[in-house]
Amino acid sequence: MVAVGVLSLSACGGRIANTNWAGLSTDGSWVYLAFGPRVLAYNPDTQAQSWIFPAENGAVQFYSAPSAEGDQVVFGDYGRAGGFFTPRVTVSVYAVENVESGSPRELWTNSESATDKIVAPPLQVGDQLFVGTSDNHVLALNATDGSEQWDYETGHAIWGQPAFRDGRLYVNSMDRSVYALNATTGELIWQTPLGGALPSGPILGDDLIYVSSFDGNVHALDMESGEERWSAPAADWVWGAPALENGAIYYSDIQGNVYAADAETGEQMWTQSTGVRVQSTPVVVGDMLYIASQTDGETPAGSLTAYSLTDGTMKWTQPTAVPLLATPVVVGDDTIVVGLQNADALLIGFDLATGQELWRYSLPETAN
Amino acid sequence: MWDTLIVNPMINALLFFYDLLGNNFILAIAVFTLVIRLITLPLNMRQQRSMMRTQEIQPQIQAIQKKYKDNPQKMQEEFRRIGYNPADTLTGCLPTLIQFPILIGLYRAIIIVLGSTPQSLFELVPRVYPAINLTSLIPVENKFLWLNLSQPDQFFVLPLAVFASMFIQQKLLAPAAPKTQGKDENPAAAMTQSMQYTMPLMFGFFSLQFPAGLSIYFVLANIIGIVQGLYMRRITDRERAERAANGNAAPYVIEADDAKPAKAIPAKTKQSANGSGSTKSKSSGSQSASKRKKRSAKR
Repeated sequence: MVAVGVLSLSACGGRIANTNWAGLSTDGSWVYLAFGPRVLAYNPDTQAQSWIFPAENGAVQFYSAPSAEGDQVVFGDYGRAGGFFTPRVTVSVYAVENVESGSPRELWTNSESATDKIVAPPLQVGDQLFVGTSDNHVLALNATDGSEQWDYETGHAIWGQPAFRDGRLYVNSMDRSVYALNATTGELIWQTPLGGALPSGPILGDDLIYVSSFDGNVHALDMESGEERWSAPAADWVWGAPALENGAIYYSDIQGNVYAADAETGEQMWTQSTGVRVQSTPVVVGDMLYIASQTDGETPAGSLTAYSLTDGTMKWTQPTAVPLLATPVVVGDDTIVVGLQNADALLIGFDLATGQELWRYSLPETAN
Repeated sequence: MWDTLIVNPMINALLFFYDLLGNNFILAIAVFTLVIRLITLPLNMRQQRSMMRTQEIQPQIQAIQKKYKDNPQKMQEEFRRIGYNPADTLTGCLPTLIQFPILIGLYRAIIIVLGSTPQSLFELVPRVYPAINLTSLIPVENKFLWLNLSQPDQFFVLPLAVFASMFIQQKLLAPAAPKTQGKDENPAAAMTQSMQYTMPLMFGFFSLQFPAGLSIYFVLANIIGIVQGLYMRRITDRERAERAANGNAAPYVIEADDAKPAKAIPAKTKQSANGSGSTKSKSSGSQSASKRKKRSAKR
């Protein structure tokens, strides 16, 4: 009977769930997707997969959105479990060549610097690469060979992509603080604690940094000093980063309330209830605001909805079979792409103006 | 249903203790384990008592089984005389069975609360009751000394602690079989003895892969089990001593020869912990039956 118990425990999964929603990014023309045992590049023009990494599924999982810069794509994994007698988890950062087709050449791999999963999308700036890790560190790596330049330890995991401007790196940590670091040396310039954990990356304005927080606010901090200028309230946690466009910020809480506020003062311009759960970052294109969401129910589904930027009225909505948890990306002039956690379709491209489905991509049989 | 009734209340209890104990997850696990152990204490104690008692009278059980293997009815009668009810072996399993949902639920709860990906946090939110202020608790602190609670202990300290604590607990829970008996004579005791090694080894191995938070739970649960085992030992030792002081400690002996009547169980033998009835009336009843049998034979 005890053995049955042990087996039951094993069946429950000895490890903590190590999965996440898909990580989606773009360089403007291609879509990069990290989901499960693979990272891939998809060309919407040819509607074909450009490359997939690794060529054969391994034991490593990828969920952080890849960072594509020039001919190099960088991404981190969720860690490779050690064996029974080597329980240390090995976490790696990879740089691969952004090839037109086939298998990308691995340029370098760093398996030494991180000790816990990489959730945050890496950021490439010139010859530097900045990576936030779940072991609380911000790493600066040499973008050409992956060697470590410096690391800075925060109080908890980093889930949001860091932001860079004028030699400074801005980092949101789940420890509820925003950090400004010297990008060359890793020295702390300022640290501002806020009222809740910070699950997404900071958005940089002209002289303000906008930060979404689990304390139910979007905070605007002075970029120079880190001092808080104002905070715009929401009804619940604000998970996704705010979108900044034309002097206004747009954000949503996890109850599905969408807000528009003045980017200089934080004064609310309009609010709209969508009735669905939202944790992704809103996307602004032209005069439209696009929000990916999850609908609750016995079988959770999702939707991509377009709202007017001026007053928040709904323009169109497209249901999806599974929840949309990854922030959509815009490619070309007319397509918004969502990432799904579904074997039937990993990516769907919708027309920005009408919401009509343009294409969908699922993995070839051989990759499943 | 499973989540609503078992897992979610446990998640909320863990978060409640985490909040109450200064956002220290190790303390939260410790107090929660203690509470769970206290709730299941009556069941555990009954099970342990029954186990110890059965172990104590194992030689008599073996002897009866051997002697009356072809006469099940007589075997049952003899079992009743020594205060042993084979059905109690099954009901003795009941507490363990009842504990499984608790154990597996707790396991799930720890895994969900320690989940360290955005998705696991997103899935935690709807499970948390409105009375818990999750905002003030997130992120759950997952570092303790050298440990990342969501990863296995890379220095093997916890797997060793799980092994050692479980081994001691097993030793305490399962008293050694009499030395006069071999494995063939007492397979149950042999199995118990082999479990003393295999279970700690199994859990020790699993702990090499378990998140440290779970291994800590096992260590704490084992330590509480050890304390409980020591307490139960004291009680059973005292009971045995009382029986000895009352002159009731003489072992029940089954005579090899069926012609000779079985030596009666002492009249005032205490009632077994597993709730079987008094042996006094049964014993005298049996003696009367034996006398009647002898009289009938003379006639």
